[in-house]
Amino acid sequence: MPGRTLLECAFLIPISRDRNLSDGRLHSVDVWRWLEEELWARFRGASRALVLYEGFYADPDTGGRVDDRSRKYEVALERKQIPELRDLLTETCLRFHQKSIYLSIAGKVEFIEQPPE
Amino acid sequence: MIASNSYVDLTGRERSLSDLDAEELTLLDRIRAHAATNPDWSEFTNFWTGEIAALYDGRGLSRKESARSALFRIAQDLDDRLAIAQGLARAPDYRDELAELIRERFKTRREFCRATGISEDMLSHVLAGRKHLAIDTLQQALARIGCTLRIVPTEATPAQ
Repeated sequence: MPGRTLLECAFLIPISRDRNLSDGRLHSVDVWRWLEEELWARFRGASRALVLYEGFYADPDTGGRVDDRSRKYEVALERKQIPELRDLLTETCLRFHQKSIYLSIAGKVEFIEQPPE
Repeated sequence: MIASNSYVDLTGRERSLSDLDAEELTLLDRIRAHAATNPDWSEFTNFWTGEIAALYDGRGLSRKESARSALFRIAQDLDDRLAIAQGLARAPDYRDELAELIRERFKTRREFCRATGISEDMLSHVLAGRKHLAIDTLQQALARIGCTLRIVPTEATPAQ
């Protein structure tokens, strides 16, 4: 996409469901398929980091330490596409049973949460 | 998984390869050969999505069209197999299928519960993996919305 300014967007998808919100099991291949197809159709694809990202954080509800391993995705988007990425990640939160998803847009970090019931 | 002119996916569904043209078959061979080397899952996903994009973008297909192609679906299935073999994902179970059914056919979980007679509390526990539905309960609930349970063979459990 020459001539257009693109923003590097990176997000982390833990490979397991949230233990408190759900059962902590690995995701089904179906939800990975869904995410890949959405990225394919909406943003013409994405890159996946070749290693899993290991991290930990304090659970916002229990305060307990949560260790996780995540798949890191990167997409280069125009600024006007960012709301669509946020929408996709909101739906991703639900389908992947996550309380929130880490999203970095050109170095600025935000957490995308599940929509209110 | 590939027998003669067809491909059997993880769910036991057979896909004909007869509609694939020479270029698609060549790419399928390359994708299969790469999967056979047991590459890291993400490396493999990057590989096949890039290859398929190059092929179909070059033909002017939209991404939605290319995602419906047999080649894309087979590559996805190989991707699934790799993820499962590497312990990074699992095969879907009835709860995953139930969640998908609710998303596709009902506006809300509440609407699904009203239609099937399953309590919202129970559904929440089931979809979160904390409880199971008894088979007869599930069967009766599904019958109310015109669905049923089926037992299908999978490649993982060869027929005797």
